[in-house]
Parts: sequence; C-alpha cells; structure tokens
Amino acid sequence: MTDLTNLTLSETVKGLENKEFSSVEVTKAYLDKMEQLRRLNAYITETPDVALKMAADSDKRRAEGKAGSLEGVPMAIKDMFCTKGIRTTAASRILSNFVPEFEATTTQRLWNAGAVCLGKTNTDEFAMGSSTITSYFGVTHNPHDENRVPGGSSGGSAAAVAAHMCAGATGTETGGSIRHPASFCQITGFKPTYGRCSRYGVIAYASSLDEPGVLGRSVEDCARMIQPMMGFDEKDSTSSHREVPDMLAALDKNIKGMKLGIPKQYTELVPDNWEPALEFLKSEGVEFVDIDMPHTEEAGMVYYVISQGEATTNLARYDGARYGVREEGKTLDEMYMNTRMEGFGQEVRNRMILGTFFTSAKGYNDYFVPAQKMRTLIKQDFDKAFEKCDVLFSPAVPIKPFTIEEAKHGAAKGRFNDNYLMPSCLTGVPAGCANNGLQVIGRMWDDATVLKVLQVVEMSK
Amino acid sequence: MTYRIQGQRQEWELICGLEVHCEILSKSKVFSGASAEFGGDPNTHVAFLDCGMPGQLPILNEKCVEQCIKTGMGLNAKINAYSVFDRKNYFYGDLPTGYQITQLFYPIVGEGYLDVTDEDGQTKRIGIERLHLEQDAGKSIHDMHPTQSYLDFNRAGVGLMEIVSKPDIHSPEQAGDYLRRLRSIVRYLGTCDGNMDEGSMRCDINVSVRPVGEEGFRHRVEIKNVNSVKFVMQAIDLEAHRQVSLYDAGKDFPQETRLFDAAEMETRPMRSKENALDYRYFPDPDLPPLRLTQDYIEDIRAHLPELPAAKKERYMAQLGLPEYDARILTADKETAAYFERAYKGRDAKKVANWIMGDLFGMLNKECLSIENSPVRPEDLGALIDLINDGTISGKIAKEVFEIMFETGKSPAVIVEEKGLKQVSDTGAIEQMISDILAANMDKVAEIKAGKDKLKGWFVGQVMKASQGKVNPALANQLLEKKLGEM
Repeated sequence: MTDLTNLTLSETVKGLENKEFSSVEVTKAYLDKMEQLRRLNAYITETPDVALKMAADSDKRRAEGKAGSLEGVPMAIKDMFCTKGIRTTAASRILSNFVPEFEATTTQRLWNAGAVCLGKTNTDEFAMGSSTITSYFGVTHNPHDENRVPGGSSGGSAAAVAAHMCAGATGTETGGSIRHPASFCQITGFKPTYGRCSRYGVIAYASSLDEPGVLGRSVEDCARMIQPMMGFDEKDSTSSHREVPDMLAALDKNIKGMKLGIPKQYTELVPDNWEPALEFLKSEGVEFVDIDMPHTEEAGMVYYVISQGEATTNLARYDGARYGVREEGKTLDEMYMNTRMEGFGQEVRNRMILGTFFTSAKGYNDYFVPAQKMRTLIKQDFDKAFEKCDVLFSPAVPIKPFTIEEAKHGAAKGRFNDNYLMPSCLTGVPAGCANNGLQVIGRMWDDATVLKVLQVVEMSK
Repeated sequence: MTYRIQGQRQEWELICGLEVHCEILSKSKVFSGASAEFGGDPNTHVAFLDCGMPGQLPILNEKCVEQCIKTGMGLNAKINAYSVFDRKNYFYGDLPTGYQITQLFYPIVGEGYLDVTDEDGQTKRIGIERLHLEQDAGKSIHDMHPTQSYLDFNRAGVGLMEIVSKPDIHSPEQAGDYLRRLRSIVRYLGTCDGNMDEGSMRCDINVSVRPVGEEGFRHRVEIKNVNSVKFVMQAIDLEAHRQVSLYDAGKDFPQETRLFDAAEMETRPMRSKENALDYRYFPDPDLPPLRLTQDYIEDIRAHLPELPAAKKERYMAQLGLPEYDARILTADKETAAYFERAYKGRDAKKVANWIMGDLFGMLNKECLSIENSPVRPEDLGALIDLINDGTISGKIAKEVFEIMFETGKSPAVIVEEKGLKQVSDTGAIEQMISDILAANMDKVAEIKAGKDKLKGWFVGQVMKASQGKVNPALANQLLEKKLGEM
C-alpha cells in the first residue's frame, strides 16, 4: 500500500469515501510519520490514543452511513484552541499544566464533521511571533531546511502540514500568523473574514484581530476544512449571522474577466515566481489594476499598539490564582509577580510592558487612540481599492525563511517579514496564501472569491 | 434648618455626591449563563467565564439591559441608544480576568434626577449624572486560614448598575432620603432587591466642603463601600466635620479614598497603593457596542409599573389623601400594595389611618415587615366595613383588630365568636339608660339645671355598661329622648 500521508486532505476524503482505506489506517500512517519526524518539534502534545479512538468511532459512523464532510480525516490543532480533556498550553509555561473542561467552537465543529485529532501543534508563546521560536516547548524546524524557522506563529501547524504529519491543521492569525508560516513552509493558508469563525475557546491574544483559520496542502484542502468551522456562534458576540456560502462550489477555476488589484506598496520586493505568476494569470483572462494603499507603512506600528494593548489585558487572567502554573510568594502581589515572571517568556513579557504603556492614561491618548484612527484610514485604503478591483494580489512574504540563529537575533523584525500581511489583519478582510507564497485578499465576507482566485494562483507554480 | 458646619471663622456648606452600586435582579449573570442568585455554596454559581478561563467570551444578558433601562426611566433619565463596554484593568484575587467589564465613555443611561425631601420638609431635586452597566467581582475570604485567602466566584460577573449622582447633596438627611427613594424605586421596578445588608446595594460617597458663598469645588474625599442608610449619613457628617477642622487648623489634606469605621465612628485612609491605580480603560473588543432601537426602549416604557412619585400624586388627586399620608403609603412598594388591596373603593383616609396608626404600630412592636403582616389587607378593609355598617363600634374595632393581629382570623369570624355585635335593639338600650338615670338622679338634676356637658358622661356610662356594643349616636339620641320625658 502507498504511504497514505502522501495524499492531500481532499484525496483522503475521497479514499475514505470509496473505502480504499479506513480512518484507523490513515490515522496510524500519520501517527507513524509524527513519530519519525518528532525532531521537527511540530507538536507540543501528540494524542495517539485520542486519535485512534476517534478514528475507530469515525469508521463505525461511516459503516452506519453517517459520514460527515471531514469524516475520518486526521488533523492537527494549533495549541491556541482549547480542546476538552487535552492539555492546551498556548506554548507557554504558565499554561503548561492546563487541561480545559470545554472545547473551542471551531474544533468542536471539525469533530462534528468527523475529523480526527492527532495532537496540538507548536506556536510562538501566546501566538506572539513569526518564527515559532518563543515557545516554552522549544523551536519548530522548517521541514524543507531544518536549520530554518517554519515562520509563525502557526509554525507547528505549517511544519506538520508540510512534512505530512497531518492532513491539515488549524491556525490562528492576528498579524499574519497563518499566511506567514504557510509561505515559509510552501503550503496553503487561509484566514476567513473576521466574524466568520467563532473565537470561543481560542486563547485570546488580541481579540479585535484574532481569527481562526486553516493550513493545508492545497486551496481545496483549506476550503474543505474551513467550511464547517465557519458560521454564527452564540458563544461569540463578534461572530457574524451571515449565511456561509459553499466554498468548494466556488472553486471553478474560472477567473476570466476578473480584476486583480496589485498594491504598489506590496511589490517593493518580489520573489522569483512573481513575474511568471502574473503571466500565467494574464493567460487565464484576468485584468490587472494598479492600486495605491497609502497607509500601508503605518500598519506595523498600528498593529503593535493595538495588539499589545489588547494582549496585556487578555493575558491578565494568568495570575496563578485559579489554574495554570503558580509560583508562590509571601503576599498576593508577590505571588503574581513570581508567577508571571516565571510563567511567561521574555517576548510575552516585553509585549505586556509595552501594551500596559499603550493603554495607560497617558499612552491611551498618545498611542492607542491615534492607532485606532489610523486603523480606520487603513480600512479606507481597502474600501477604495475594492471599488477598482475584485481582489488584491501580491506576494505574501517576499523573503526566504531565515535560519533559527538569525531569528533569535531579530530577523523577524525585518521590514519585509510581515508588512504585506499586517494591513489586511487590521481590517478583518479574508486572505489566503497559496503554496507558492503568493497571496490573495478579498472584500469583507467574500471568502469564496479569495479561495477561488487563490486556487488558480496555486496552478502557476 | 439648612445643614451648615460652624467653623472657627466661618460657616461651611457640604457638597456631596453618591455612587450607588445596585445588584441587578436577573436569573443569570450579566455576561455568563451562571445563576445570579445570592448565596449558594462557594463556587457553585460559576461558569467558565466567571473564573477567567482562557478562550471564554462574554455574552450580554438582555434581561440586565432591560433592568438598566427600567431603572433609568425610574430616575427620569435619558436612555442612550448607543453605549459601549470598556475594560477596567487591575489585579486582585477576586477579579478573575484581571479586568472588570464596565461602561466608562458611553453609559447606557445618561442624565436624570430624583426628588428628595430635605431636613426642612422641602422637596430638593438631586441630579443623576449617569447609570452604567458593569460586572461585580467575586469575594475574597481572608479569615478562614492564618496565611491563606480563599476565593468565592459566585458573585463574580453578577450584573451591577452603578448610579452616579451629581454633587447636589448638601446635607446628610438629603443623602439618606436619596438612598431611601432610590431603594424604593428599584424595588418598585423589580430591578434590584435593594438589600443593603446582603450587599445588593452599596454606596460610595464623595464629600467636600466649602465656605458658604464660595464658588467651585475644593478637595474631595471618597468614602468607599458604606452599607446602610444610617452609616452613609453618619459618614458624611463625620467627614464634613473632619475636613472643616482641618481647614480651620490650616492643614491641607489629599484627594484620597477613605473607609468608614462604624465601630470607631471615624473615617480613615485606605492604603495609598489602592489610590494610585491607573485602570487603563479601553473599549472591550469582545463586545460590540450596544445599540437599542427606539421601539425597544418605548416598549419597555409602556410596560413600566407606576412609580412612587406618580402614585403619590394620584393618591392625593384621586383619593383626596393629604400629602403626608400619600408619601408614607407610597414610600415602598409593599405598603402601597397593601393599601391598595385594603382600599378597594372604601374611604381612603380611614384606610390610611388604620394602616399608618394601628397596623404600623403593631408591626413595629413585633418587628414585622408589612409583607409579613398577620392581618391581611382584605381583612382590614372588611373591618372598616363592619364599622361603617354599624355592626361594631370604632372602639370594639380596635379590640377586634388586636385579635386579628394575634390570630390572623377574619373580623367577621371574631365578631361572631366573641359576640361583639353592636346592640341596636332600642328597647334594651332604653332599659339600660333608664337604669343608669335612676341610679344617678343627682346628675340628672344638674343637667336639668343647665349642665349640658354631663350628657356625655351618661353616654360614656351606657357604653361602659354595654361593653362598647351600643352605637354611641344611638345612645345619645335615646338619652335625649329619656331626659325629655323626665
């Protein structure tokens, strides 16, 4: 029998449907692969027992004719999603012993669709980073070059998908954390419109920016995974009541006559495959439109002020009082200080301090309020752009993955690391990165069009 | 008399504002589905959100919104169609998320007012600055263990209305009446049980003083968490005098937060650390702004019960009650309800007299609230009917009432059992009068000589002989007749 982990998620769905193999078989194949490639450190927690039990249950459901859309498909879950009965750490020491009693809405919907849980993937601590090097559980290696980082923060998920240690994975994006590692690991990543996926049960980094999404080996794989995850959830006040369109049905590979906007600020540096991709898309019948996004340069600063401001209050609950790791102290304040000093890593503590300043009486007026205003201007850039085009098209991350050493010395702070990603995070629009490192950004709620165009982009390899 | 504090060189006036926290009456908490009921074993009314679990999100309880709107209407206040929830950040053991969700910048209710009665019996209008919706914290228990504290999150996340007055209060009496009226309003509306002992209504006081005639405000001191009307009045008086004596001594004092100690009868500063907080307010990104339609607001207004002020006006205009009676009867929801059930078209003033006289007297004596009155309002009404139709005299009625209070029996049953029916057999009464006159011929002679006042004495004798069962008017009439025949 061929290695079942070589199949895409879509092929796995079909193989299971045709009863070419069982969920237990494909799950075992992935568990073997996880063991072989454990050195990549893609997973924080592997859950083989849970996986085999879920796979057996899945096979039983299929035999009874009750198969869901992801029936029997083995998936990995970023360790930012709370999973009932399975340790959930946010890659932080402070939650290193935390086992939730509840399940995130999005993962519950995956299990309801029949998916099988292989384990929890590594991330930057509390998803703060773009290299997956700040995890309490160690760095994750890029499967294509193990000296290099997988990108981040969903680097564990991206590495697991790229190394065929799962058929697909969930991720979260706050400032590019799905598209960035997708680009570095040469896989596909998609984050839908803010409000499409419930944030209930997803450990918060910056609530107004956090978006659950998926990473897979193709656009079609992503469409299949994201479909059941989307839709209104009464447990999240920011989730949308809008009806969710059929993502797979949108993937007709026909983009003839569509207008693709190229923001000039997103093409200052381009990868080698950029020009050939433009040629290919032209041959598919699209029209290119030059777009000016004048506030792009400000997005990075705005992102840092807002995300750190929100993060500092979102993470205030980790105080050692009720759950998680506690470092004792003689007084309540001393216990707080010891717990948070020992519980959080350096990067998280840095962001807490800045975030505290940005939301302080002085910082609020000097930074937080201006940042919110600038966020509105950035959103207007997008509104104006979408008057002229159907989607935006550009490279996602125009640089090659840096080495782990470089990352430890601040390579991720380079200007081309995430400046093509940040603006779309601040506006909540849907965006995806194809497995060739090129991205498509769409109008609010037009998730289906993003995937549709992205699939054609992916054909231009 | 206007409240003034006599300093060494001048008279000072009090400037005071109150911030009252009212726990909202609702089945569940303001942002979680856990029970909002008071009490329960520690940590049994706790949803994942209420203990600050990761990934938990707040969902606004519509009932709490409705309760705020109702209360706002009770305070004659503007209901804001747009309001926003903010995070107030600080660390404490009983604050599970490290921030309290509240409304700083855009509260749900804006300006309004409450009319109170001041020390001179005059009506004084106290402005309401705002009412906002927020969550309560949990409870830290420090006295269960020598070195450890315990946490109970049953109260964490229960909805609170914070009602902030303008600095319009100028005497402890005004503050006291403001609190009593506020409590009455929330109880009428069913938006808060108003129970200060259980902490469902708590008060922070802002106090400053200035020489009479001075404009502007001087340093203000906040007194936290005072939990009875009496203590609030005492704390204000104490703090105002403390400030005046400091000014007299030429001493400056800081704008600070103090605690009221009822046992020592003093206010003293809280640890300075608790004063120096920057709460880092900012809009809560987990909750979209709250938008209310005009239809929604007006629908709530249409279903509002009659409030004490309106009820009082109605009692005066329609039932012809004096202002004093109307005020007393409407001061709380239970008394008004009792009055209305006893009244039912009877003589309002008579019903009022019975309630404010005999009933209140007995209830006070027995330390009972009117809801627990052994005399049902319908029975009190029936008792008044028995007097009116001449079945019993007013004097007997008092006796019957006491038995009603002791036994809870209806007046008709008591009158029947004890044989207290008024004697209206004129023959029997005439006989009684003849006997009394015959035994007191000397007094009859005096009446004949013009001493008319003695007629009253004879009526009294008749009442005495009949144990009060004779209708006094009838006795009077028959006495005249007998005397005329003599």
